[in-house]
Parts: sequence; structure tokens; C-alpha cells
Amino acid sequence: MAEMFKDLDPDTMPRSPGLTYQDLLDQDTHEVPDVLRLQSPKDVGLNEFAKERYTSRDYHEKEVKNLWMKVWQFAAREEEIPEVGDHIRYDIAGTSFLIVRQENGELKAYPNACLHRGRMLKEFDGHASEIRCAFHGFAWTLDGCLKDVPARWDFPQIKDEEFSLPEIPIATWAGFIFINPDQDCEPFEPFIKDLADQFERWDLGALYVQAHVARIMPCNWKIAQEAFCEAYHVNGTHPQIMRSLGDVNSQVDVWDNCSRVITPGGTPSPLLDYELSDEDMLRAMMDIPLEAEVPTIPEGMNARGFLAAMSREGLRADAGDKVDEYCDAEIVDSIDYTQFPNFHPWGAFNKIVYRFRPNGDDHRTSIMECYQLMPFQGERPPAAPIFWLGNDEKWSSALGFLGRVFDQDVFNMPKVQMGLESTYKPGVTLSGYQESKVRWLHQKLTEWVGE
Amino acid sequence: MSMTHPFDVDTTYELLDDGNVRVSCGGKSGIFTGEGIHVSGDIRQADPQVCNWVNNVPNPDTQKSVSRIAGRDDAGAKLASHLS
Repeated sequence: MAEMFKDLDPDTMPRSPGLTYQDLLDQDTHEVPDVLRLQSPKDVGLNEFAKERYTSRDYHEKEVKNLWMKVWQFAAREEEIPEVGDHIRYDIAGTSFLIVRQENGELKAYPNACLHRGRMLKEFDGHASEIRCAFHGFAWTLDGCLKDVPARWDFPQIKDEEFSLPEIPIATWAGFIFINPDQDCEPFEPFIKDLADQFERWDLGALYVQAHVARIMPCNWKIAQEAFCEAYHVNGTHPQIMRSLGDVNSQVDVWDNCSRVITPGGTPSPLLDYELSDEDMLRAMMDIPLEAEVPTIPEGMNARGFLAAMSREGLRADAGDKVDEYCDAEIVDSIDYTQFPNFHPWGAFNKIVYRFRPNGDDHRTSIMECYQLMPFQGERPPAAPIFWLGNDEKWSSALGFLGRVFDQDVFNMPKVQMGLESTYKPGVTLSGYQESKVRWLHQKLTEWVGE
Repeated sequence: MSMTHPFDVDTTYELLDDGNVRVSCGGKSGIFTGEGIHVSGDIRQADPQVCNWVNNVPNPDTQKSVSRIAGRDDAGAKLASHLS
């Protein structure tokens, strides 16, 4: 990391006028955890990145070979395959893998291919007592040992001990299953360490999958992902929330394998050049129409504190009294992490986990997914199954208010793809600080994939 | 659903029953689709993303799941009275 980016001094670096994120934390009604006091701004350069990263087949093929077939990547939630024999299919860039819950509760991952003629072993998620191919009936035990070869006499060349399903590396963190297609990959622990350290306070493993929604997006996976990696786009894409969101006051932090953007809520955008009342902020934050009344903020409380107090009460039934341990910032702000290359868990009770990946081997479409993770009391509720939106279906039909915000981002995506296909300009221009999470992604891509 | 534009506070965006959006300012108005395409009226340009926002009001009866971004869930108004 030290070789890649230089540290910036948070006290002297160029930044937006108005309150800093750390200034806002000083006003919190609760004790602020150390993880929010961390600051890691980096000088990520001002260079442009070639448009071919989004449009070129060659670049996509290099990504498949040097990134997707080499990197640790989020494949599934553990709770999606809780019982022995449960299995889930994970596809990436035209390749399929099978993750299977073992007799001893552990997990194994295999290339999703029969060792006989290569048919996919499982095309659906489900449950099985053995892994039997639907083509000619070759079968393996759950732990990948050869179990049955119909008409075995006709395969004298097969030795059982040499015909086990090949395993690929698998690991778990906070209820998430990661796999790596590269059998000689680096260990998982150093890869996840920065993120794991910062999420020590926010145990995502203790949450359950309340919703899992996916859609094919008409753009390269990075166009979709980058729409969610900075708050600078709020003024153009989500102007309705500017009265209650400190968009350009966001704090951006960059580490080696992870980065984050924290965007404060309940505070107005510095891009608005007029005074806003707490009522204005509340109306915007809660999306209250002009003709409807805004709730009265109790004396001595500002909009940010009020929103936090309301949200705490809203969460109490599911999260219990743990909500009282969380500061206003943890309740109200958007704490958006990215673990390279495409895993986006949000901190505290933000609920959101995004994943973006190529749609099969097509570099001009992608898969966007949103998991919603929720706290619960008592027995763990079953994980919600994946719900695929149709190509013209709105995210709001599945995810309500949050989906309305996504729909504004989605509105841009095919236009960005078409614009990059059309432009005579060789590269994309990114800001130095606010878009440094996007820069970080591209610097990492340069490291893994090349220019 | 209605709101004023944060960068142009004299301009109001209002959802109509047919799903279009009426944009009004200084006694003039225009009608736009949810993608910001002009349909009729004297005002001929509008912010497409605000049209998109105002137009996109999900039906709670057909929601597949609920969502919450801090403070913005539908329970907000009810909880406000609890706190005041």
C-alpha cells in the first residue's frame, strides 16, 4: 500500500467548505466509536483511466483471466445453505462453481463440472445427498470423492483416488462465503484483514438476509458499481436528498484491499447556497410531500439527532437495546465499504450489501445485486431467496424507498455505457478526493489486470 | 407526491394521476414524463432525475420487501409523535 498511494494530511488536504465529517461526529449525542474516527485519505493521483476499461472485449478478457479467475470474491451467504447437502451455484464471467455444505458443517467449493463429459453438476441451488451428474449418472459424495460410475467396467482408466472433484479455496467472514478460482491463491486472512478489523463492531454475521434482489444491468459491471462508490453524483442524480445529505462533505478513506465513503445524513449539502431549517431537512430526508406536515422536532434536538432517535426506535424491535449503543452517525449516515473487487457491505445497521459482476461473458451487461441484512430477535429467520427483477422492472417494486434511489442511478447506466462507446475522449476524468474510491478501484485493476 | 427543486426553489414538481409530472414556476407550467420528456405546456425543460423521483412512487401493497434508510421509512411520522 505504501508504495501505491501516499498519505494525505486530513487537516491540510483540499476539501469542501462546510463541516467536515469529523466535525459532525463531534456533535453526536452518543459516544463515537474509533472506527468512525479513522481517517485514511490518499493521494491517488489525477490521471485518467482509458474508456476501453468499460468498452473493450480485450480488456474484459484480461479481467477474466487476471482478476476473476484469481481473486477472492463473495459467492454466497452461509445461511443460504444451512443444512448438510445444501448447495448453491455461483457463476462468474462465464464460469460456474458449486458450493456444498458438508457432513461436518464445513463448506467445500468445486468447479461446477462433471469429470466425465463436463456437464454442469448442478444448474440450480438446492439440496442433495450426493452430487450426481444428470447426463450419464457419474456421482460423487458431498465431500467430492468418487461414489458411482454406471457401467464401471467400461472405464478401466479411472482410479477412484484420482477422480475426486477438484476443490477450490473457500473461506468465510461474517456469514459471507468467499471463493477463489485460483488453487494457488494468496491466503484469505490478509486479503480480508482491513475490512474485518473495521467491522469488528458491526457483526454482519449476526444479521439475516431479509431480501436479495438482482437485475441484469445494461452496462459494464464497473459502470454499475461506480455509480455507488461516491456521493459526488448526488447533486445530479439524487437532487431530492440534497437538503438533508452532506454529499460533498463525505469522508473517503482508502486502504489496501478496502475503501469506504461515509456520507452524513441530516445535514444539508454545501452545494446549496441558502439556509435550511431543520424542517426542510426532515422533509427531504423523510420524503414528505409539500402538502403534508413535518413531524415536530422536540426542543433541544436537531434534525440529525431527531432522525437518529426515530430510527433507533424503528430498529428496537429487531435489534433490541443494542440500538442505544450506536451513535447518531452509525444510525443516520451512509457507511459504504468496498472490498476489492466487487463486494460492498455497509456498516452499522445500514442493511445494504451490494455485489456487481459481469453478466456471464458479456462485458456490456452486468449483474447488480442488493442483499438487505437485518438484525433479529430469537430464532434466525430463513434467508430470503434471490428475486430477479425483469429488465424493465424498477428496483422500487422490490425495495421501496431504497429502490427509488437505485432507479435514479440505473437511469444513468445505459447512457454512461453509450456515452463511453461514443466519446472521442480517450479516458474518464475523476476528482482527486471525492471520487478516490473509484480511483482506488482502477489503481487496483491496473495492479491486477494491467492498463 | 410533490417537491420543490433544491437548486430552483421556486419550481414545483408534482405527480399527476396519470403518472406524468407537472412542473410549475411563476404562473407557467409544463407536463413531463417520468423520464423528463416534455409532453405539453409552456415550460419545456425539467430535471429528468426529479421527474424520475416524483413519478416513481411504489405501491406498498405490491412491495416484495420493506426498506429503510435511516429515518426515511414509513414508520417515521408515527414514531415522531412517540418522541415529541
